[in-house]
This record gives sequence, C-alpha cells and structure tokens, in this order.
Amino acid sequence: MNRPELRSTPEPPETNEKETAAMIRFENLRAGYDRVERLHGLSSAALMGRLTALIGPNGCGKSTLLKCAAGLLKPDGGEILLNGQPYARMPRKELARQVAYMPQARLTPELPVEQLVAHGRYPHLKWGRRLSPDDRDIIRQAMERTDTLKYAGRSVAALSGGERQRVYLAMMLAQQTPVMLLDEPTTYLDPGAQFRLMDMLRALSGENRAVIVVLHDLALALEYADEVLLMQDGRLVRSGAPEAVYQSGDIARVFDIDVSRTPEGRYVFSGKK
Amino acid sequence: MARTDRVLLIALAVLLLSLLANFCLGASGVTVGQIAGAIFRGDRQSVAARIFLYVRLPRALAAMLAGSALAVAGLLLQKVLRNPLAAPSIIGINSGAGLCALIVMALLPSLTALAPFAAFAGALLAAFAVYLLARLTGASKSTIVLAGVAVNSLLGAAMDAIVTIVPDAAVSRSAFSIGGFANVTMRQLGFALPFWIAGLLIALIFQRELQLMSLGDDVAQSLGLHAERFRAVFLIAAAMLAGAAVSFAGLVGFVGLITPHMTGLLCKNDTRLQTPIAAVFGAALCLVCDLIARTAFAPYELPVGIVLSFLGAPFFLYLLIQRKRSNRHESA
Repeated sequence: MNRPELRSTPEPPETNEKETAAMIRFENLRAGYDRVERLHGLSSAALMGRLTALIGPNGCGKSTLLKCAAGLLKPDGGEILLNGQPYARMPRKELARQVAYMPQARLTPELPVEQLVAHGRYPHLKWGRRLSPDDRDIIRQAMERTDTLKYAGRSVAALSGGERQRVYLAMMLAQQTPVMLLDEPTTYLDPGAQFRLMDMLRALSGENRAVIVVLHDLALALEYADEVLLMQDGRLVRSGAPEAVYQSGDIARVFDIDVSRTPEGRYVFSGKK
Repeated sequence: MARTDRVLLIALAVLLLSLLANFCLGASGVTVGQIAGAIFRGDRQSVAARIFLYVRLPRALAAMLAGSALAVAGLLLQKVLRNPLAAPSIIGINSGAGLCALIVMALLPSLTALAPFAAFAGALLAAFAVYLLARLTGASKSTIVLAGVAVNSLLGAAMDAIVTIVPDAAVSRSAFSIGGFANVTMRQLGFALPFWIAGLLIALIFQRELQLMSLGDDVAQSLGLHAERFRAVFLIAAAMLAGAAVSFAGLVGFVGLITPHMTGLLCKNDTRLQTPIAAVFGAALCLVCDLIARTAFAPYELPVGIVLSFLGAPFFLYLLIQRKRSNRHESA
C-alpha cells in the first residue's frame, strides 16, 4: 500500500523560487496512537519560503502528521528529515530551535502575556537560563508584530480567543524557528481575523521559513497557500500548487463535494446535489 | 519596584516579625536581649535561654520548615498536574507520608530516625499512585483529584486501622492527624532537613521548567522541554517536601492548598518569583497561626490546623472576591 513512486522521487517539484531546498521531508511515514495506525506510509516535503496547507477530511491524519513534524509523536516507521538530518537523532532542545508548533487546542494559563511570549526563548537559553537583552528585544519584536504589546501585563486567561491566539503566535515568533507548524489556527477566529492571520503566515513564509498549516477552510487554503497537500485516510492523495490540486478534481472527490470557480477566480464549494 | 518584588519583601518582613514574636511571646515572656544572650553569648543556663533554645526555637523552625515545604509542594503539584485543587493534603500525598511514618513510629519505635525516610517513601508512592491512576483513567483535570481523594481515604483508613490495632503506639492519632509544631525536637528537624533542602532546591532551580509545564505537554515539549521527565522530577520534589513536613508536623493541611493560590493572586499571576514567594508565605502563615494557637487562649493551646483554617480560609476567600472585582474593573 506504499507509494514507491513518491519515495523514489528524490527532488521536490520544480519551482521558480530561489530557495527550493526541502526543509522538512517525510519519508514513508507511519504513525498513530494507541496502536491504531493513522498515517500509512506518507511521503512528502515542505519547502523553505513557502506556505504549505494541509487539507483533508476529519480523521485523515493531518494533525497526526503535524505532531510527528513537531517531534511530539514518535513515528512507528519511516523517517522525518530536517535539512537532511533525521529527527530521531536530534535532541529535543535542538529541534525546538528549528521547529515551532501551535496545537489545535491550547491551555489558557494564568500568566501575564509577556511571560508567555518569553517562554518562546526557552530553547535558546543557556545554562543560567536568564533572558539576555537580545532575548528581550526578540520578545518585544514578536509582540509588536502580532500587535500584542498592548496586553503585555494582562493575564492570558483574561483575553479573548483571537487575542490569545495572537499571543501564542508571538511566542512562536520569539522561538525564531525556520519551520512553523500550526494546527487549524483559523477555526475559532472571525473572518477578518482569519484573513489577517493568513496574511501574517504568508509574510512569515516569505521570510525564508517553511510554514505548514492545517486548514479546514478550503477557500483559505487554495487562496493563500503556495503548496497544498491533500490527504485522505492517512495517505497523501495529491500535492502541488493550489491550481493544480484544484484542476485534478481530487478535492471534490475526497470531500465528496462540488467545487467550482467563479470567473474572478474565487473557489466555490457546495454540497453534492 | 515591581509588584512581585514588593510582595516578596512584605512576605519576608512578615516572616521575620512573626519569627521574633514567636520567640518572645508565650506563657513566659522572653526578651530580645535574652535571645541575643542565648545566641551570641552562649547562654545555655538561664530559664529564658532554655525556653528559647529548647521550646520556642525548634517550634518556630518546625513551623517554618513545614509551612514552606507544604506551600512549595502544593505549588509543584498544582502546576504539574495542572489542577488548582491538587495539594498534598487533598490528593493523598500527606496521607501516604503519614501512613509510612506512622508504621515506623508505631511498630518500630526504636527506629524513629527513619520516619522522614518512610514519610518521603510514602509520599512518593502516593504521588505516583495518583499520577498513574489518573493516566490510566484518562488524565482529565477532575480525574486526578478524584483519584487523589480515593487514595487519600484509603490511606487514612489504613492509618486508623494501625492506631486501632496498636493502641499503645507512641504517637497519638488525633495529634498526628490534626498536625502541629509542639514537641518537635531539633533531632527530628535534622532528619527532615535534607529532604526539605533537596526538594526546595529542585523547585527553585527549575522554576522556568515548572512554569513551562503549565502550558500543557504539547506546547512545553515543542519548546524543548522533556515534559514527562520533569513531571517525574517535580513529583519527587513535592514528595520530598511533603514527606519532610509530615515526618515531624503530622498532617497539617490547607497550607499546601491555599498558599500557591494566595501568592498567585497577590502577584497577579506574575510567575517569576512564584516559588520563593510561596515558600516564604507558607512559612509566615504557619508561624503566625502557630503563634495565635499558642497565645490566643493561653494557657490552653489550640491545634494549629484549626487556626490555619479559621484565618486562612477567610483570607483566601477575600482574595478570590478581590480578583473577581479587579477583573471586572479591567474589562470595563
């Protein structure tokens, strides 16, 4: 049931970007929880400088894949490579300097916003584990960029859902990783906040980062992503530019919906008639 | 000066004042000069010096050690188990320590020196039993407390059984279960001290890791923390602290539950100095309450646990109401 043809392709698809090095590569990845396999030999890659959207029906293994990529779930088989280096041999702190992760559900600790963001520096701290002036600058910039500086002294628990999420994003930024993973970050946001978040993720990926984001909103995925990975039942069905994935017709088939496009290029999704 | 630093300073001042009051006040007054004589001029003979050295000093040290130990143990448990109700007296850690200490004291009275070790072992066993039970049953927030309450009552029953079967045991069950700092000897404190130091050092050195734990395992691990490893380290530290306290003070409850919350509320959840503040606060709380227990109805003495509840609970409720008010204020 593997996809040997994917495993044997050594290079990711050609693009016209300068940076096309595969940042994260999954090779024949198998993983799951409680002895139930959720990923059945998945091979793919996410590239530097690109926003990669992970889409697929509920339970297809998107979150499992992201957890493996974050180093939170040990694969049962296959390998994940970061810049060609296997995860299995990387210490946790080293991984945390390379990969940041935002889970789907987050706790709301009773903690001032500034101190939560400061936790993003943890993997970079030396033995004394004190924040240096540089660390403080980085924290400040992360908060400025996410527009959270105005809440600096307030408790995370006292913020709204959208504000909290920006605070967590600031923490990820403070982590200063070349890879950012986000599991359904748009789910509880109002439409305006969704667009602002996606704009931010696009900008971040443009700064030579690999950003992988799980999305349920197909329109957002197709409009914003550079690369779409379509998954079904723990396997990769199709990957490529949004246009190509749309043209393949696989989205309609996998989700069992109708997909069309308006003359202005907007995607329209509707239930099967 | 930041609010948190102020809170720490005030707590230290309260601690010093109540320490002095504990030395001086009581059935017979001891003056500061007499205390200085006992400490600096080697006075071992006068009545005042003997009261200070053999009664007041061990008792005050016991209150401070137990208070700080239980407060920090409570803080560790609340962060690690991510449950505001987790406290050594509620989830069975004190009972575990108490049961094992009681077994040693009741059945092997010649080996009383082993009591702190037994208490630590019992506390550790109880802590891991609760943790494993919660994991097996799906570690939701309420499961941990439910499992802890079950473990607690099981261990309490075992303690009652021992006292019933060995009625002439050296310890009195009621004094032990209410807890207190009277009749604690320097020897007992000396045996407990290494556990107190080790537990407190772990809690102080790994403050940052402790705060990371409260973000949840996934986020903590993605920031590079070995969450499972540190959970075990903090549980061991909490068991050392609770075991140290129980081995000489019996089952003093409540300090471990409310002190971490008090520090959180007073510092507006600024977590930088949470561990030292909790330690100082727990020590001061126990000192003040023990002083009141000794002097309020002299010559009769109240069990300190009763004073702790009478003073601590209303203060705690006051802080909770205050927080509600200030939150409303902030959002308005």
